[in-house]
Amino acid sequence: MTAVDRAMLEAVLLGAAGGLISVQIVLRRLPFFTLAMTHATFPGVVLAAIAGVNLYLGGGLFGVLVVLGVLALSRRPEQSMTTAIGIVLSAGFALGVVLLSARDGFSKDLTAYTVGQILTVGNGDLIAVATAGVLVAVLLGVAGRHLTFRAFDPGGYAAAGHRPALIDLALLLTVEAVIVVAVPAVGAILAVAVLVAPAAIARLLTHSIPAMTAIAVTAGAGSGLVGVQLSTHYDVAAGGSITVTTGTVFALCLLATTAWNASAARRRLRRRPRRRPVPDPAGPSPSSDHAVMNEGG
Amino acid sequence: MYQIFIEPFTYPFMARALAELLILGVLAGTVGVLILLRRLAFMTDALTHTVFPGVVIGYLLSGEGGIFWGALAAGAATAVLLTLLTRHRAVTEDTALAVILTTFFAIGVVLVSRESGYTTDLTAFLFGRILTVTPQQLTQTLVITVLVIAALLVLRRPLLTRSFDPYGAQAAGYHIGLLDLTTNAIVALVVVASVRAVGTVLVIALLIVPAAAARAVSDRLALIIPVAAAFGALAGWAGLAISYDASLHHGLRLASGGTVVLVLIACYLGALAAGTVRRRLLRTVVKAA
Repeated sequence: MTAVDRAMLEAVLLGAAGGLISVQIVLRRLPFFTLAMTHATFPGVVLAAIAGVNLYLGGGLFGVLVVLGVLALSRRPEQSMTTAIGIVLSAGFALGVVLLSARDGFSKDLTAYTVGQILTVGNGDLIAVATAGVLVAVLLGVAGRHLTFRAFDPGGYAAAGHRPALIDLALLLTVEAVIVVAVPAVGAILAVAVLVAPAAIARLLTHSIPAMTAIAVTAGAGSGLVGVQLSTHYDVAAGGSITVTTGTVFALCLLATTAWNASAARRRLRRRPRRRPVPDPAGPSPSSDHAVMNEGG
Repeated sequence: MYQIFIEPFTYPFMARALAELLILGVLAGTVGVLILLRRLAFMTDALTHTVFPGVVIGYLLSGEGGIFWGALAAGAATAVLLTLLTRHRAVTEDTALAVILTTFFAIGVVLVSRESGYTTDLTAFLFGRILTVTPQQLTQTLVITVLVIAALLVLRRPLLTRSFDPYGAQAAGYHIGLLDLTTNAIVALVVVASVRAVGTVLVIALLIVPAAAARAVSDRLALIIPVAAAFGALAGWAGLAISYDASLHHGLRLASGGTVVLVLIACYLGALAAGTVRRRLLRTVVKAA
């Protein structure tokens, strides 16, 4: 396998794993939390590099600490969740930067950590990504029903005798596992694209969770493949081209669905002019849409 | 103490860096209170990243002078896109922010990675070049600070009403959409003003942490704002001094932006502890009385 083949395999596996978990992230309104976790995993990776231990282990352990930090800070009455996340995010990133700056070759290393180095992945990285993907699939397979229940009706979930804290912890740890494998490949800042954008695309196209998951996995893997090819063809940073691909797909889907909804609304208006004088301007099925929008966080 | 906190700033370049950080600390601390009240931390973080392609394009088109205007254009584009995107019912605000943030940043990365000195450019953007601040940049920052603080003073009543009681504000005849756009524009302006000198990492910390620290020690807005501004300015000073001292006398090179953030975080943790103690004391006083 050449480096480009490996990079493509890595991008596809990572896109699929990210797409799989991204649906849960979007449903539970966790994008900002994910962003903070990607930034805060970064000092863990740097520390591990300095100490000479496994990068994934260091990043993962540090990420778990961060999850606990955000949860602890946001329990204080005068602190909202977004502020707590913002503080932990900047603290984590600054710590990583200061640690890195104390070493030689500062700006080159830093670039590697912030925008990733997918072209230098080895077999070990591929195995790590595949493992993270399997972990996500296992979580969704075993607890998918619980996750959906928890997302749409947190009160009902607790009342039904389940333990919300347990399922939350499982979800957050799985998200962290995907982040840990994504950061070395696409970088700390762009990793959140792998973990959010696929579901954002899928959410535009469908209301059903299984269909969303399928579309998200396809979108994630597809943009990984296209991104790496663009990157090698035009000689640009791979993490950047993967993200730009996802963003472009999102923009196109957004335009297409907006146009489609507008024309559907106009058709409906023409068909039933009397019965419903005030038609719904967007979206064919308001009730199911409402359910997805109103999930508690 | 003198050797650490005063002496380094006798060099003109260090004095300029200190002046820039003090001004930005006051500006960001003040605007940070607005961000805290409106819970705009995620939006602020997104803005710090989305100005990046503007910086790159501005630089490619017309060199150093184009950076400011490029960043301004990118900030405006973000505000508009965000407003448009969240009107689509299938896109929640946080998802929209995450997608815009990463896509914009990635466009910047792709553009910059075509250049030869790519890693240095990216580092400069992420951490700024605080030690090479020019007098002209200082004037620019000062003008923006005056403008923003004047705008906040004029609009303080509608902005506060909007923060605490959106429905009341609407009933009182304030134009909510316009107020929100103004808020976003103010945050964007601060980000644009400071990103070249101190970099994205420091901007987000300066905008969020001082206000949160001030909030932890006080419940009164009239106190929170000056305390936040003071926190921002003092942390800038201490961080700069520590990073200078560590690099010069202890052979430990610390990035100045990152050090300032870590000082800010230490202040925040101290403020949390102080706030807890204060609340305990108040409670015992109330009980005794």
